[in-house]
Amino acid sequence: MRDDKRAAKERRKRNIVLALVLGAFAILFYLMSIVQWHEHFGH
Amino acid sequence: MAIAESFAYPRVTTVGDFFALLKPRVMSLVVFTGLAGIIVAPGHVHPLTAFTALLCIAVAAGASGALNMAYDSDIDGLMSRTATRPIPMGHIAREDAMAFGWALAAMAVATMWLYVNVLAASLLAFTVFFYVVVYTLWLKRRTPQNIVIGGLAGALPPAIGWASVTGSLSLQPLVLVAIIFLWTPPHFWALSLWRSEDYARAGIPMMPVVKGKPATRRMILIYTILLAPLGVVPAFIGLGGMFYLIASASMGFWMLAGAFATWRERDTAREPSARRLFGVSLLYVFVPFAALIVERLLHLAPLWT
Repeated sequence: MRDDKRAAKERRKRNIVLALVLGAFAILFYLMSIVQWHEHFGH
Repeated sequence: MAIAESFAYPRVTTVGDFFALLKPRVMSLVVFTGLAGIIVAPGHVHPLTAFTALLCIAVAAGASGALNMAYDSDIDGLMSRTATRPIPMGHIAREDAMAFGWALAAMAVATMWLYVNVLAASLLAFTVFFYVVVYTLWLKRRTPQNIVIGGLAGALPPAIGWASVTGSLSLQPLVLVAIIFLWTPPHFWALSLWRSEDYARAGIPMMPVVKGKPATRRMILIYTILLAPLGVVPAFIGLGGMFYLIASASMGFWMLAGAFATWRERDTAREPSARRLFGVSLLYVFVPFAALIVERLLHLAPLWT
């Protein structure tokens, strides 16, 4: 039972970290799109 | 019996296991030399573009490490240095590591292509291909020249960094690549001198296993003699200033002294000189590249332009 709880806790932790990493990448992609837009059309 | 079998225990895969797959210590060196390439390159890119390029280099390096651990998991379990890696320990499935590695590699190359430039992305893809396919799958188990040729993958990050800023390549980044390329054999052969039994057990044809320790010591000395003068060249091609010249020349002399001591070493059981040389070789990359970065950040002019 204790192992099941630990496994569930680790899975939850993995999912949270994955969500945070994907979220960070989404923000980076969004910001990079703005940078590229400015470099092409901003001058 | 595999070393890993004696203490391996399967358990649920943790975030730490995935992190360990990325070979964080190797990744830090790759990121550092890639950063040097970005900073010393002429021209200007938006800081976020530079950050994205560096992130892609880091992720691709991590992906290469994960794929290397996946494809080498059979021999990793046979060597004491690598037996505690997540796959031989039973903490992560080989197939999961493989999927993780290929997904990260594809993401890094695609991001570099989309947001930085096509040359940097191509070099990044070539680096991953060279490390995983040419080095890990082909050369590593076949020839004692494995780390000489395979070392090209680890040497390319300064060129990738440079290309991400300029969109082109020139002699200057290629000299930085050549320095790391010539540095790799003495670095890994020093390690293999005191780990030769490990490599022999796993059937990896490292230089001391195939040609013997005296031949390896000779090769370490030859490569270091070639490396030391090349190390100061950036000061004469418009890359490094006085600070770099002093740093690279002193580190070159230190490496030469270490290689000479390793060549003359008689304690073949403990290999104290090789252990010292391994430590010095880590500094050899770190100190001069740090000097290059600091000079650029302080706007110190190169010696010759």
